[in-house]
Amino acid sequence: MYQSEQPAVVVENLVKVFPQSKGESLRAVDGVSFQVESGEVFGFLGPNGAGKTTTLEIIEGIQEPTSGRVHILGLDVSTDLEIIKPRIGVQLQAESFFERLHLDEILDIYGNFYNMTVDPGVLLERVGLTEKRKSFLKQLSGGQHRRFSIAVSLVSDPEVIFLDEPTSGLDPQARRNLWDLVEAMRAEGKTVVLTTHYMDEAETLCDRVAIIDHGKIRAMDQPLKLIQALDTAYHIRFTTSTPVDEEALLALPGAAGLTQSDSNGSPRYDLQVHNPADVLAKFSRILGKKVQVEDLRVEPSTLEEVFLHLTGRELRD
Amino acid sequence: MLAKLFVTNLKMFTRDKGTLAATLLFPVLMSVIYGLAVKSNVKPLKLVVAASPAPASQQLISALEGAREKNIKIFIIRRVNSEKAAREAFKSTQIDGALIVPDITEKGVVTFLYDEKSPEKYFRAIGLVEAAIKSYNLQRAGAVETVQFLRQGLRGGDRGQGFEAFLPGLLMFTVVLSSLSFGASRIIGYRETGVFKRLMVTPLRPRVFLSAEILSRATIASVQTTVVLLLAVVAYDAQVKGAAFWLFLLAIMGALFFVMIGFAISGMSDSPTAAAGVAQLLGLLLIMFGGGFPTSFLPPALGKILGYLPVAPMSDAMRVVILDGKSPITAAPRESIILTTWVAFSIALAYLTFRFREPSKKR
Repeated sequence: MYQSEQPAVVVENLVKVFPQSKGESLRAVDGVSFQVESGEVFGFLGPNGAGKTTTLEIIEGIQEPTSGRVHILGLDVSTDLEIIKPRIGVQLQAESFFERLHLDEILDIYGNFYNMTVDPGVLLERVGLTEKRKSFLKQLSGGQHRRFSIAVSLVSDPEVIFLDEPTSGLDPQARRNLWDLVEAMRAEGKTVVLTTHYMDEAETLCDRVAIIDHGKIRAMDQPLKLIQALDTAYHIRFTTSTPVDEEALLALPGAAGLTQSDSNGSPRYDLQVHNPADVLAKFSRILGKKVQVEDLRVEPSTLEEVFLHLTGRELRD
Repeated sequence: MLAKLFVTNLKMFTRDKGTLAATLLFPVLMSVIYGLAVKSNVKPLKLVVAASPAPASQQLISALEGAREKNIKIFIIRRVNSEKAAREAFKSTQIDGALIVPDITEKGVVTFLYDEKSPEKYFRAIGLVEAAIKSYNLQRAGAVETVQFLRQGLRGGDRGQGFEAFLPGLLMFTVVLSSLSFGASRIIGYRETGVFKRLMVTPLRPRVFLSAEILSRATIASVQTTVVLLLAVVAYDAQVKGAAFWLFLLAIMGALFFVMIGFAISGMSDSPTAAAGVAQLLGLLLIMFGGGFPTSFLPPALGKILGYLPVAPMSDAMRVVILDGKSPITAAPRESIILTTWVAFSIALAYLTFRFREPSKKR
């Protein structure tokens, strides 16, 4: 749901260099440029240490860039940060709040920082923590802490919300719960910029994703388009009664790869193709009548495969 | 925003049972310890007396009763009729000594029985009894005491004789230690756990945070001062000659100096760990060389420089208020100027350097 013609976030040629020992330096963000449209859910996808958090923290004004420019809602972060702050909500990867306050009191004081009177009950209800209203932070589980962080990020009713790995380390139920929360933000027309290293999360939540590694954006588009751009956009997986002519399969137009494994004594194949319709049309002719095919499935590739294709290695923890 | 944050700070303080106990129990505990020390200075000498009913003997007993010299006071707690009864009573643990006064209308020998195992305990008491008897003899002879002798015990630098002598040090250490321990550690903890980082993305300005901290620390220092003063005056009969206002002001200034130094260090250090180390070292040095330990072993030039540290002027200024009943501005202008300069410097430094952001961040 795009609401305004003005982009919510514009990042131009962002560079962040960290000095290290012995005169060396680390280029954590290396010429990153992108823009996020208003009302969009935009995701930064990449392994730990890829530069996601640094990029996000520069955008939020927590860190200063070595060079480059950032605009949020048309305002320059380097000069107008104090005007921008009330219009953005931020959930940090590692953050804490005043320990000896109840959750509703934390929301109240944070609302006060924005010169706003907030209803803690409403915010806590949004994140499913109504019953924890009078709890202290240390009494929350990891998932509840993340949800509470998001509640705090919403105290000023922001137009743009930044979420840094909101589901990292959470159990499946807690992850789904947070996904629902992000979907609700999208439904309200808010712009959400999130980082994650979960491919399924990016695929499910994000209108567009930027795959970042070693401080550079490797690709940026809608998840489906990124997948479809792969030579191996689809997998045709099947089991046969007898081994098949693998060279003939690979010679089919659009076939980009073939792997074979064993499935209860029968050969199981994974044929990676760009256009499954073209391959399937000629499929039975290649296999011949004597070969019985079982459990044939056509499945799209995943963002993880896009990432591996772009970076050439496994995701790191 | 400032008022709300100030109230929130106090709320958090009252909920932190450990800090609350340490902040308030420390002065109470120290007061009790010092109080016991002061009280135990006045030792009652409990005597049993066997005196003749003769008027001269009774006159002598009256002269002795309630006699006091410095920290020994004679209490005649029992009167018996015979020397034998007095000697029997002396065996009781409740009795410190026995005085046997025969009929001394013409002449006589007054006997003082004491425990040989601890004669030092009664050394002054014996002197006291001797002095009283000599005085009685002179009086009976109609002699005039043309030369009188006054014994006055003094300890170096102490003007007070009671609990008030300890009060400046007690007040100083109470506010300084709690400000140093809990002020700096809280700030460092906030940086370490990400509280400051989270505040950075809100419109809250560091200077507002700092101002709320100043107000809350001043309030806590005032509460501590109230507790110490109340205990000192009510429970230990301390004689505070000057206006309590000055004591509150000096205590608040001391507390603010240490809290603001904590903020300044936190604002200038590369990491929370470094900040914690520098704060602890600085605090230790300030207390050690600011009045906590003698500096006479140091080279004179260094000792002179250390005299300009804020802790000693703070306790000196308090001493002027408590023991001399004077304003520190008029009676201790040098100390007042040094302390004020330090406090102003630390506040200015904190406002200039403190940021929610860490000063430099390397990876």
